[in-house]
Amino acid sequence: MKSGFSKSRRGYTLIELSVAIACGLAAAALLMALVNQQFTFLRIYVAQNFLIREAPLINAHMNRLIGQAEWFRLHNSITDAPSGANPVTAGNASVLILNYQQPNGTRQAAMLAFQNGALNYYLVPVAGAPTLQWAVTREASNVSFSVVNGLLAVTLTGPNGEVITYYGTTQQ
Amino acid sequence: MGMIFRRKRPRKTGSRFARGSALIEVSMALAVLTVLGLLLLKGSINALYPRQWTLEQTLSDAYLTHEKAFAQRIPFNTLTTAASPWPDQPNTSVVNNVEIGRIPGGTPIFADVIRTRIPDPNNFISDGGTVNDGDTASNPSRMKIWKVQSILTYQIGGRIYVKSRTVVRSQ
Repeated sequence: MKSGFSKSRRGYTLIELSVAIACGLAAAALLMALVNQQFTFLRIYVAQNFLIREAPLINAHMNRLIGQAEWFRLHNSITDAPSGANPVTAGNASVLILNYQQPNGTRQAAMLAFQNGALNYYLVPVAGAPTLQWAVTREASNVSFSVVNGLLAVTLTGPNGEVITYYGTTQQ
Repeated sequence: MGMIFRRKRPRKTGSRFARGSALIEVSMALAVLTVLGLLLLKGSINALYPRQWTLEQTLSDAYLTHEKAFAQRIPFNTLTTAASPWPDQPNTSVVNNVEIGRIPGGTPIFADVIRTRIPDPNNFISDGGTVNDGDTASNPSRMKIWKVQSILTYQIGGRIYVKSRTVVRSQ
């Protein structure tokens, strides 16, 4: 009996097809691994940004603000801070009051407060409510102030669990 | 079954696409992808390693702000007593495994802190210097000058790094 297919017109064997599929899958898997590797690299790269870029900038700002102050005071509440009510000396505070001597002999108070994901800088008038000026950072997940060995410690917690603490004194 | 896998056109004898050439092409593609993957991995490591180094520099610099500020602030009398945090050289005070901060992911980084204070040679002998007590020719106001030094040591990738801050205190 004569076969319906000539030698040149026969189809692929199952083995050929299996090898072709396996090769295709291997190439696809390798390509996916490559893409995944690049995403992982990007994730690690971005995660390092807070400590490498943001934290030193925050420290530079804080050094200027704290170093020129005459004295500082810690509070846990933004409403207590301007009047000086309920100051804290132990534990971590979220509000820092700084007092500056002005060239004309008067004093000017300022306030740093961590609220709603931002470390905000306020000017505190002698009478009236503090006025928000600008935000030192919006990238930190927490900022706390404390006193360690008589020094002002500013602890920054980043979005990926990183923690860095800067220390300073007034009138540097 | 044969109908399903049948080619539309019969293969010509001597065609430039010989049977099995696709296998070679796919193998070459896999090889190229593997090499590309390794090159990209090496590139990623090359980019991340110095950033990891910078990250630990940032943390160690931050911790040293404590040492510098503490050395500036500590009362002079406390600094020069036997119980001083900065003992008189060659004595040193060593604090091991100080947590200097946490890297992304919350992993703590530890370092060792060595503290010592070095007298100025022009101090009186009783103040650690070389000038005879009562000799007011070279130190008429009996100044006491100390170099207060903190040394931080930490490891990155098996290498030990040393960083120091020195504050001059006088009275």
